[in-house]
Amino acid sequence: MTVDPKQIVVILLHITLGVNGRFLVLATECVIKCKGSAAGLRFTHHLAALLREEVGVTPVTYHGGGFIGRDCHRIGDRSDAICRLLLLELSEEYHTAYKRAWLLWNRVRKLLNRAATATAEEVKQFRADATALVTHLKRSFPWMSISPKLHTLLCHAADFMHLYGSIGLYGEQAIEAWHRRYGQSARKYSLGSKLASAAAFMRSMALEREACESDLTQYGPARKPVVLGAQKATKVGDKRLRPNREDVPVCVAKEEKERKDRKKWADDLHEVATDTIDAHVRREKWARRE
Amino acid sequence: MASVAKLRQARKRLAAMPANQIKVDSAGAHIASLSLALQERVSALCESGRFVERQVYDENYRPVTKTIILMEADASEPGVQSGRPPPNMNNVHVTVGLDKGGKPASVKIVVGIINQARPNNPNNSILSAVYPCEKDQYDDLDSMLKTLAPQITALLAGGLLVDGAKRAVRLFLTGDYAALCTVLGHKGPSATMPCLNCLSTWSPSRKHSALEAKYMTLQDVAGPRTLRSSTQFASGARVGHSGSGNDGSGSSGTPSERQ
Repeated sequence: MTVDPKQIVVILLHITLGVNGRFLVLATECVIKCKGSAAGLRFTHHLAALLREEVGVTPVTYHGGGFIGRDCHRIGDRSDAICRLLLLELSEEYHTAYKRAWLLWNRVRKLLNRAATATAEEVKQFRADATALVTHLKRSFPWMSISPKLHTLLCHAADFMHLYGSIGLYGEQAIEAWHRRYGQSARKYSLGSKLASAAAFMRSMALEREACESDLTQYGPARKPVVLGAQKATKVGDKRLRPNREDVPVCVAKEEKERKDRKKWADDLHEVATDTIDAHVRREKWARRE
Repeated sequence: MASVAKLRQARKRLAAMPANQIKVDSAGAHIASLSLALQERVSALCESGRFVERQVYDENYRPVTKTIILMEADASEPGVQSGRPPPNMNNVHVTVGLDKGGKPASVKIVVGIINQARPNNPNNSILSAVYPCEKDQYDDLDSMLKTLAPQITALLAGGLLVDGAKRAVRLFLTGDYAALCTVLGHKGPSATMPCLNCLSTWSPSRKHSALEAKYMTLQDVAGPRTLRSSTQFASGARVGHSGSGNDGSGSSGTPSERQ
C-alpha cells in the first residue's frame, strides 16, 4: 500500500488547537518584550480570568493543558476582548500587529474548519489570507518560529482545498469524537479485560450502524424541519440568554480545583513565553557581536 | 411495538450479518471485513438518496469530468491500488484515520465516507478497530496494522458499488501529526525534513546548505515548495513501498509491510 502525499489530510483540528494556543503565548511574549517579565506574569493571570469570565472557557486537563476545539472557536470569535486587555500593556506597534494577526487567523480558521465545499473565490481568499497570516507573524514578531503546523497551513492547506474543494470535510474530528464515545461507554461495556471490553464495544457499535441517519430516513417517521430561527432567543428577558440564566450552585471543591488549574495554566504560559523571549534576546546579542 | 423477544431475535440476526462481524486477536478488536462494512454504508446512502458526489478540481477550480468506470483490468493499476485513481475515474472518497486517546487509552482506527452530508459525525463513520494500549509507538502500531493493511488493499483493489456501477476508492490518510508520522515511518517534528508533504528542511545549518538551496527551510515563508509527491511518489508508487518516506528515497513501507 502506498500513500500519495497530496492525499494526506491537512490536520485542521490540530492546526486550530496549535495556532490558538500559540496566539495566547504570543500575547504574553509581547507583554514581556514591552514591559518585562513581572508584567507578563500579571498579564497571564488577568488573561486566565478574562477567558473564564468573559469568554466562558477553561483549559482542559488533556491536549497539554490547552483549550479544546469549540473553545478555540469561542476565543477566536471574542479575540477583541484579549486585544482590549492588551491595550495598556503593549506599544501601539505591537498592539496593531497582534490585532491584525487575530483578524487574519479568524478568517483562515472559519474556512479551514468549515465542512462544506468552498467556492473559487473562497479558495483564492483562503490562500491569500493563509500566506498573509504567516508572513505577518514572521515579520511582526521576529522571535516566532514557523512550526510544522504553521508551515502546513502556509504551504499545503490551500493546495488541498483547491484540489478537493474543502478541508473541513476530510478532518480528524470523527476520530476525536469516537474517543469521547468510547470513554462514555466504558462503564457499560466493562468486562474482564480491556480487550474483551473493546470487543463488546465494537460489536455494539457495529449494530448501531444499522440505525444510522440514512437508514432511519427510510424506515423512521418523517419529522418536519424546524422553522429557521425558531429556537433562538428573540426577547431581552429570554432565559436562554447567558445573562438571564439563574446561577447554578457550584461545588466549592470544584471551584477551588478550577482556580488552581487556571493559576497553573497562567504560570506555565508565562514560563514558556519567558523562555522564548530570553532565547530571542540571546540570539540578538550574539548577532550584534558577530 | 415489537416484543422484547422479537427485538432480541432481530438483534441476533443483525449481529450474524457478515458486515457486522468483529474479530478479536491479541492486539485488539477489529471489523472482520472492511469492504463489506463500507459497501453496506454506501448502499444505504444510495438507497436513501444521501450519496453526495465529491469532486477533484483542476487548476482553474473546475470539477474534473468523470468519464471512466472502474473495470476489472483497472484494479491492478498502481494508481488504483494505492488509492489514487485518475481524476477522471468515478470514485468514492474514503478517509482512514488513526489516533490514540481517550480514557481508557486506546488506539482507534476510523474509516469515513466523505460522499455524504456530515462525514465527521461519528454516526456516519465506521469504527474499524479498537486497540487498548498505553503507547502507539512503531512496534505497537505494526501489530495493529497487520490485520487492517490487507483489508485496505482488498478494498482498493475491489472498489465499491454505487448504484450498480463499480467505483474506485480515493484513499485519504488522516489523524494527528504524531499518528501520521508513525504510520508513514516518518521521524516526526525533529526530523531534518519535518513536513509530510514537502521536502522543506527544519532550520538553517551550514551542513545542510545544499538541501536548503534546493528545498528551502520551514522558516522561508515565500516561494514554491519542492513537493514530496512530485519527486518521490512516481518512484515510490510500487507495491510495498510508501510514497512519502522520511529519507526522500521513497523506500520506507508502512509498519506492517516492513515485517
